[in-house]
Amino acid sequence: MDDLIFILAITLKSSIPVLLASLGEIITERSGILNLGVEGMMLVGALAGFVVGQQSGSLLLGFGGAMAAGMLLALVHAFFCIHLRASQVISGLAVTILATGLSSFLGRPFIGRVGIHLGSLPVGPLAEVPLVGPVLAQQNWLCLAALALVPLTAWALAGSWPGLSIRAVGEDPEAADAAGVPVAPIRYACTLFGGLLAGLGGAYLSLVYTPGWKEGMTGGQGWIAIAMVIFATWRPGRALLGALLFGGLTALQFYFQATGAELVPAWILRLLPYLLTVGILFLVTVLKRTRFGAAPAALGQPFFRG
Amino acid sequence: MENGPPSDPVLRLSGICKSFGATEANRDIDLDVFAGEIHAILGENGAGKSTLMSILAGRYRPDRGTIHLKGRPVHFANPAQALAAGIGMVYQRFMLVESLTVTENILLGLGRGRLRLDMARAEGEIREFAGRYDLQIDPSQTVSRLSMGERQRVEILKLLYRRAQILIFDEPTAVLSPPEIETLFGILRRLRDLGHTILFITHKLEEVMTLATRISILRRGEMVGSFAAGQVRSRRELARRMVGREVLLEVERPAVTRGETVYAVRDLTVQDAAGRPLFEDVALSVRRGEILALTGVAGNGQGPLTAALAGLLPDVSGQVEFLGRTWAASRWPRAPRGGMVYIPEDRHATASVPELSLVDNFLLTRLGRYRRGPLLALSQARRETVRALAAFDVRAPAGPDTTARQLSGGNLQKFVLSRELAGRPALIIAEQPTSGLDIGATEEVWQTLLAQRRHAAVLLVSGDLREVLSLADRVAVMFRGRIIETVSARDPRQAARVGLLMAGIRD
Repeated sequence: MDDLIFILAITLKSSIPVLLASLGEIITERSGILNLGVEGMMLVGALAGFVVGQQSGSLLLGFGGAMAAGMLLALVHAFFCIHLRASQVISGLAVTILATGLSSFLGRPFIGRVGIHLGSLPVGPLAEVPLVGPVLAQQNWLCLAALALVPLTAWALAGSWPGLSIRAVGEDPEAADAAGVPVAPIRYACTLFGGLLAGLGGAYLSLVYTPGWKEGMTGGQGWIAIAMVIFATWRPGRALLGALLFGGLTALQFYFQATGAELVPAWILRLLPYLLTVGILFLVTVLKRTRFGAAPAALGQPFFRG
Repeated sequence: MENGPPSDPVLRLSGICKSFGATEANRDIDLDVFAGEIHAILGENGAGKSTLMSILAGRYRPDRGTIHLKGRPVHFANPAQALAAGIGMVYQRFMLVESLTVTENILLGLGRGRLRLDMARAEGEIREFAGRYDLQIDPSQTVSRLSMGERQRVEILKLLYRRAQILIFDEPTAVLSPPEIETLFGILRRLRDLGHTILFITHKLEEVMTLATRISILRRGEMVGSFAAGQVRSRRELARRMVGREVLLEVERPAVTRGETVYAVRDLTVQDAAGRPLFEDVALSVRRGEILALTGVAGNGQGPLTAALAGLLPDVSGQVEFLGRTWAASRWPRAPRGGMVYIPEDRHATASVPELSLVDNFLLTRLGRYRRGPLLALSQARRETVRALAAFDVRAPAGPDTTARQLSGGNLQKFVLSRELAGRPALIIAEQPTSGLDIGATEEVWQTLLAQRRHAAVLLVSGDLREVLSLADRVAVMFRGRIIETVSARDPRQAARVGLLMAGIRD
């Protein structure tokens, strides 16, 4: 029982950054903008969250700073893709490269410093509920917020006016434009929202998961989030499933390390989340032929009027 | 309504000019549109009709000139502003998001500042609204599953829902089967009766004669004239005003004796990546001396079938017989096809390389003929290019050094024909050979194809019913990936059925 609680709690805990980033990326991609800068935005978010939190002593300011940093970087990407109609792939890669270097440079003085961090949920009497109580007691507010965001984004896409505009802009911007939908503002807004969530996902790492700043501390989770969007076929509900899969493999790795059971070499375990991502991408590509789920038709394409 | 226009036009365009780079699409155009009329904007391809209507619908801004709506000057910065003023346009390429439903497409762009979208209620509203105009459509259906006629009705509904009073249609019949065209004409007349004003762009004389109450003719960017439909006596007169010279609307088809079967296919079937058939169990044969037309409404499998017939599609099952030899269809793309020529639909991208000179373009499909070991006999190719240009009357400003891009559509098509027909082929596969050409160029292409019957079998792929019936001896009609029937075009009773067959109706 304790083993199960251990695994479940860590699964949930480790899945949140990927979940946040992939929810943001879903919204961005549904509007037709491919953002390969997620990894960079998460890194910058992690650093900004830690630094602002440490200097101000306020968690709220820390998370706010992280979201602002992610959005700032997303604004660069949006400007290149929407305004200048640059290649979205190149712009996204450039943003990640820029952010990796920048966070490493600016973050050097903060390595090893102790900052603030977000504590666990006060669950009160709920703690007595078997399984759920102890698992929940190891989570935090941000984790609940991220989970709440799943049905919220799903509803926003399917059952709201802005969602209709976002889907239309991502599928056929020309038709959307002809119907009077403001294509560029919507794409800007969705890209910024993606940056905001990526930044928040980064701050989760530096303020909640492993408090502190470490160079390259996202460890490729931004890339995994992008892969999860494809796995999720651009639907928020499935993104949660993908994130939990990632979290589950991370938890297993901790579990085997903690129990000392050398069933599988540790380096293979550490490889698992990434192997899973490659495997998922392979499967999805194969399954795509059977119309398993299609990308937004205008994904990656700049929009010109006339 | 035929008794002359009332005094005040609902819409008045004066002195409209619009250029794209060096080309003047519209030059000093005046146009009056009166409430409650069905106004045809007639002209050949490239006459500036679409540009003029796009200006009216707010898609382009005029370089000069003014638009008055009900006596007041208006300026439209974008289509939304024109729509707000009551002017909407149905473009040739439908502006619908295919993965969204009918309702979602109609509502798109209307939800400024609102959050919750109750889809079930919205669908009910749209159903009720469509019923008011007697436009049959299922509001919950995804647009990608609709036929072209249904999509057009969604576009109309979209404009009506936005309270458009003046509706503009750009070549509304181009993608419709003949029965769908009848339905559309009924809808347009009904809208007119309800007080809407209809403008439609066309180059088809029949449509103007049956539908329009008023006709304006554009030629090379200029307004030739505007008159009530009752003032026009005949199609011939209309054609003369449109082209600016006398034109023949009938082609002469001297009789040619038929020879042996040159090309035949059996059981041709191919599937797309998702396993759905693009076409199934296709059988057809062409003999020397005849023209077989393959026709159908766009999207019924003619495109992929033509590619397969020309040997450009892999993984086809069935048999192909050409000049007495038989191949499995899967091996046909690699079979020697000397004697067969293919004239692709897209002459700008498939049939020619825009940036290369006409000599280089002439070499494209004829490399083998000019190969001298590792070298090319360029001076010979050049001589023969010059000869071909002269023989087909291709107007090329810099002779053989002209780039393909510099040629007009008609001249480029004549150049492609000159290249492909230079070797006296035994089989000609011509795909939409006159689409986008003016009447003059169309006549020349038709004469050329008819003349080829003396030594060749011709397979004409065309969605243009008039072209098909003017040229073909037999007509194979495609519907949903199958040839549903092959009829004789020379028997008037059979020929009359082609239109219905295109809609899948067999009797």
